[in-house]
Amino acid sequence: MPTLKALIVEDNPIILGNLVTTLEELTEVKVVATVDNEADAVRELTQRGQELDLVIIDVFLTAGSGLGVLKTAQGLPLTARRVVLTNYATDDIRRRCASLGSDRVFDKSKELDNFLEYCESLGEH
Amino acid sequence: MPVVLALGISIMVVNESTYRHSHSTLSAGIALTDARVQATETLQLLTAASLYAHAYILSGSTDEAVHYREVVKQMHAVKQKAFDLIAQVDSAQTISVDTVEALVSEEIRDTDEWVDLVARGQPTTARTDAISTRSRERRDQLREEFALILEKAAEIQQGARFSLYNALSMSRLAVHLLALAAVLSMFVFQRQLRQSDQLLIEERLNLSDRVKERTAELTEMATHLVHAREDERARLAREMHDEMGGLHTSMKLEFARLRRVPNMPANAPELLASIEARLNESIALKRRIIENLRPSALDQLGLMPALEILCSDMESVLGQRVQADLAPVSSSKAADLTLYRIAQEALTNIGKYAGGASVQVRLAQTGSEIQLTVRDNGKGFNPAQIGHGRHGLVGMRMRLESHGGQLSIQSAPGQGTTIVAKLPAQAPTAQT
Repeated sequence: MPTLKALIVEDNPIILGNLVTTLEELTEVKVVATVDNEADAVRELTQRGQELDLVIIDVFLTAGSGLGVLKTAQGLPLTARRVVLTNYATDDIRRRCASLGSDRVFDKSKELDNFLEYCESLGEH
Repeated sequence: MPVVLALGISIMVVNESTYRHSHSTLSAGIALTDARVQATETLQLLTAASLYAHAYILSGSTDEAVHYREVVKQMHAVKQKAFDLIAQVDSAQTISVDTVEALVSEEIRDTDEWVDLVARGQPTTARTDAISTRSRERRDQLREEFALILEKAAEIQQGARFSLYNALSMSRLAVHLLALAAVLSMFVFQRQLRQSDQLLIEERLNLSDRVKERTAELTEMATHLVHAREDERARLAREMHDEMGGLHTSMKLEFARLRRVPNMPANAPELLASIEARLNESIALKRRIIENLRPSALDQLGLMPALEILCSDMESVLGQRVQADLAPVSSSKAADLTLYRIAQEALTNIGKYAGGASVQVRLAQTGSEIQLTVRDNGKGFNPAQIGHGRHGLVGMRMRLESHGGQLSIQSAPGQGTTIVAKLPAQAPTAQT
């Protein structure tokens, strides 16, 4: 089964650690890079964007915003899926993320299972 | 005040003493004139008496004797009058009328003697006596003496007149001076009044300045307290969100992994589900607390999205429809927070008191004015009787005013409530 290379943009270390472990344990996703701010995310995308299959973005970062990352990603020739993880999955956020090119938006507290299922399903196609 | 009193008393004293002086001088003058008349009258009567005596000597008629005695009596009366009048002029009693008295007595003694002699039947002796010039000489002397006395009296009167002139001059001077003093004191009083008025004005200005200072101080302090509170809330919210939030998400992730572990004991899934349910409740609680403390959506996304989230959250809390009609507005972060808090407070109050069916929240900007409206169709209240729960909105009014805005509350019992917050649009604070 092909592994999916993922970049995670998340600034909370506890979540990050758990996310990586969970993804690698339950799905085919392999986390190749993690960044905690917009600038680094943009750098990764421009440099390694072609290699990535999945970008997981937290909306609220300490430096910069996940929305900014999405916007940048929209401007690049990326094949990777863009998935937003957030604590504030309101209609407005969903709309905004969608318009910025995100494939899915998941609420960090209520939709983690859906997120994991989505990641699992990615590996199956 | 005492100056005025002193002036008044002085004027009255001067006036009274001048009056008394004039009065007595005038009376004395009149008395003197009368005294002259009486003196003349006395001499005339004396001469008349002498004539009657002579007539009696010549005729022997008792009529003449009778006339004689009448005239003598008259003369005495008039003489006394003259002396009294002189005494009136001569209050110091420097003039002696003894000489006149003595001469008159001598004359009357002689004429009495003649009359006696004739009555006793000795007219010849009487005639011899009467022919002598003694009588005439005596009358001349009498005239001179009277004149002397009257002259002395006149001197006294003249003295009195001079002193009256002096007194009148002094009185005139005194009254002029007193009038001048009165006018001067009036000016002084005027100036004092003006000065004290000036002091009052200065005092009032001073107080007004101090009040302004104090109000500014208090406003500053109140604003500072508001900021401190908001800062603290923000800090708490951030801690909960970052640290507690991280723990919660991790637990959810681990639960996800745990659920996929094979060969679990029979009762495990049920317990797992139960624990996860608790975790979900805990997450929901944490979110509610954070949103109440510091709506992170406000900082991260802006006023409009934050209000949207607030309205949808409040729908389930209130059990009413909360219709949000929001448009983007141009405001600073501080103003955003104030407006958010107003909406929050208004919605909380609706939950506590209104009990209606639906709520409308409207945010819009017309020209350079931002307007936030929260309207409910609940119980309503009488804005004049602001009770306990409304204190929150009164505090909001102050915050709004510090941004140059205003808050208006319209309500009536049974007619719902409309809260309108207006403030001028501002340049949005640069996002970090």
